[in-house]
Amino acid sequence: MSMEQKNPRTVALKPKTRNTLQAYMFFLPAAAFLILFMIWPMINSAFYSVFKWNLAGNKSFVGLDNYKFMLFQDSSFRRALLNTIIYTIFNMGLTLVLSMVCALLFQKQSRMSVVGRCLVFIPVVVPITVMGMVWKMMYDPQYGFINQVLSMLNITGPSWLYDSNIALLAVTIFNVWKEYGLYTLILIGGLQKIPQDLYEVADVEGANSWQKFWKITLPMLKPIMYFVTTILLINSFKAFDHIWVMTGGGPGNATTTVVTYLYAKVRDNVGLASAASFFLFLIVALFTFIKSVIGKGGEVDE
Amino acid sequence: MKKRLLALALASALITAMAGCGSSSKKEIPDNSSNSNSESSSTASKEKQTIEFWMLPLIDEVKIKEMVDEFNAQSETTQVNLNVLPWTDGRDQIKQAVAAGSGPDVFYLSAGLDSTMVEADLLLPLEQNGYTEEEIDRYDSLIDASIVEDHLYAAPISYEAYLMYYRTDIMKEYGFDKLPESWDEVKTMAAAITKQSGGDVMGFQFKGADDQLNAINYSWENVFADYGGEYLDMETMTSTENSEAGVKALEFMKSFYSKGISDFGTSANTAFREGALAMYCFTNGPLISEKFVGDKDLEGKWTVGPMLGSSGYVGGHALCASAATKYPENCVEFMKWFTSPEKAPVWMSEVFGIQPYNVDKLTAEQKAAIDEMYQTEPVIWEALNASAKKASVELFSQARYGYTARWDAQKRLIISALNGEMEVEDVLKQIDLEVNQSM
Repeated sequence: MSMEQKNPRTVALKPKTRNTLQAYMFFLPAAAFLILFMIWPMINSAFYSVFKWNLAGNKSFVGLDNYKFMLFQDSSFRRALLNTIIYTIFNMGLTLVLSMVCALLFQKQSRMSVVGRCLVFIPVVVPITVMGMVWKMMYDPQYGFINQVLSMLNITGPSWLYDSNIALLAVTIFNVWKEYGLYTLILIGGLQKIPQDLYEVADVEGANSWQKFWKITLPMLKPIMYFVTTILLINSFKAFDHIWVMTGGGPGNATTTVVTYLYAKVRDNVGLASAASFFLFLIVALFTFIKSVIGKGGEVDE
Repeated sequence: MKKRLLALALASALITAMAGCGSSSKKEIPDNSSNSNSESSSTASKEKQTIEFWMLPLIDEVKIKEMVDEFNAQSETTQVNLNVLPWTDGRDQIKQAVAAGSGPDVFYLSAGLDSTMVEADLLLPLEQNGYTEEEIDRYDSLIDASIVEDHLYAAPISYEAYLMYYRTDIMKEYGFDKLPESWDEVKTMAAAITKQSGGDVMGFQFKGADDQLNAINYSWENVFADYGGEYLDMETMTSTENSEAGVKALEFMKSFYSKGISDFGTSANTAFREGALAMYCFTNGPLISEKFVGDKDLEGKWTVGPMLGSSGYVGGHALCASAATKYPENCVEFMKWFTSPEKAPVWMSEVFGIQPYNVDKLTAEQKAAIDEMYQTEPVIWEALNASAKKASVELFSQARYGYTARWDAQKRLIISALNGEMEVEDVLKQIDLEVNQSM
C-alpha cells in the first residue's frame, strides 16, 4: 500500500522544492534574528533621524534638519568624523602590520609558537572596559607606569590622554594592543593553509624570504586579508568602549569619534543621534563596497 | 484532531499564565506588620499599596535600604520596593523608563529638575497631591529651583556646593600664612607656588581639568556665575554663554594654563593628598569619598573655605513622583518621610549634604538635631553654608533647560579652550549652538 493511499491529504513535494523549503527553514531563525535586531533598528534609526525628539516629549518632524546641522553647522561632528577616519587609518595600519609580524613569527608548530600565540591572545579575552581603565592609570602623566618607566630613562613622558595632540594616538595604541592578537590567530590560520610545495618550488628557483613573502604569502593570504581588513574597517569606525572609558571623547574633541558623538547626543536628541548613526552606516557601507571592488572580493589572483 | 485541540489548550494556558506573570507590578500585598489576631475585615482595610522607588547611590546603598526598610516597617499603607541604580547611567535609565510609562513611582532627580520631563508632564505636581503650603514654606530659598509655574515637582533631599580646598602646610612653606580672599589672590599665590617649586607642586587646579572630566561643568559654572554670566535668555529661550561674562570667565580660567600655573592630568584629589597640589576647588564630595575628614596623615595640613567670588555653583538631589503613578498619596507619604527634617542629619553625616530647610521654621527638636551636626565639623559646615548662600539660584534653575546638551558640550569644549585647542569665543559659540539645537 502506498503512502498516498494511507493518508490522502499528504502532498508529495518534489525533491527540489523540498530542499528549497528545508533551506528556508534552516535560514529562517537567522533571518528573523537579523531582521529583528539588525535591520529593524537600522530602519528605525533612519526613521528617527528626521525627527526632533528628546525621549520625554513628543516627536516633531524636522525633515533633513538634523543632517544639515550635523554636517554644516556642528564643528564637533566634523571633528568627530575626521578623528574617526584618522583613527581607522592608524588602527588598521598598525594592527595589520603587528598581527602579520606575529603571525609569521608564531605560525610554525613549536612550543615557543604556542606560548607566543597564547601571550598575544591574552589581551583579547580581557574585557575592553577593564583594560581601558587599567591603561588610563598607566597613562597617568605623574603616577602612571609608562611615564615612570620613561623617567627612569631620563625621558619626560607626555601627558598622553590629557594632551590634545597625542590623545588619539594613545587610545589607538591601546586598541592595537588589545585587538592584534585576534587578527594574528586568523592570519596564522591563513598562513597554515598555504601549500608548502609553493615555497619548495620557490626555494628551488632561488627566491629569498622577501620575494617569497611578496610573491607567495601575501597573494595566497588575499581571502583572509580581505576578511581581516573588512572586520578591522568596521570595528575601527565603530570605536567606542575604550575611548569612552579612557577619555570620554576629550580632551576637548581630541578623541571624539562618530560613535562617542552619537552616544553623547542620544540622551537628549534622539533624532540627531540617529542621523549620526545612519550617516555612519552609509560611510561604512560605502568604504566596504569600495574595498570589495578594489580587492575583487578577496579572490586569489590566478 | 484531539491532540491538536489539546496542544492548543495547553498553549493557551501557558500564554495566559505568562500574561499573568507580566501583569502590573502594582500588587496589593498584605500588611505584615498588622496584628495576626485582628479580624479579617480589618486586615483587608489595611492592605498596603506597593510603589517602586528608583534611587541613585547618594549615600551607601545599604544605608538607603535600611531607610526604606524602616519606612516599610512603620507605614501602614505603603510598601516601597527599592532599586538602586549606578551614577554612570542611572539618570538616563530613570528618564527613559518614566518617559516610556513603565518607570518607577518615585525616583531620584536633580533638585533643579529636567525641563524635558516637566514639559512632557511626566512629573507629579506635589502641592496638588499632599504637600501643604506650610510644608513647602519650611524649605530654604533654593526650593525655587524645584518649582515651575507655581508647581512643586521635587522634594529636595540635600544640596551640594563648591568649596576651596587648601593645603595650608604647603602654602606656609611658600610664605602664604593667610588664605586667599579673591580669585586674583588665588592666581598670584598659585603662580608663586608653581614657580618656586619648579613645577613639583601645582599651585591651583580647576577640578575637571584633571581625570574627572565631568567636574569641569561645576568649575565652569562657579567662575561663570562669579562673572555674572547667565545660561539663557529666558525670553527668547536661547543659550547665552557666548557673552561678555562668558568670555571673561573663560579667559580667566584659561590664563592658569596658558601661563603655566596649572597643568592637565593627574587627579586633583590624589595630588592634594600627596602634597603635589596646593589649592583646588570641588564639591563636598572628596570630604567623604577621599576620606579627607578624619585622615590622620592630613591632620593639621589642610582646610576648606567657601567658594571665592560673588556667586557660584549649587546643585541638589531630590525625589520626584511620576505623573503616571496610580498611587500619588502613597508616593507623597514616602517622599515626605524620606526627605523630612528628621532625616536631614542622615544626609549631613553621610555626605556633608547641605540640608534644604530654613531651620528657623523647624521645630526646636528638628533644629537641635541639625545644629548638633553643624558642631561636628564647624569649619566645613560654615564654608559649605556660605557657598550655598551666595550660589546663583537663577543659574541653578536655568540649567534645567538643555541640561544634557550643555553638560556634554561644556565637558568637551571648556577643556578645548583651556588647552588652547580652540579659541575662547569659538568654544562659547559652539556650546550655544549645541544647547540651542537640543532645545
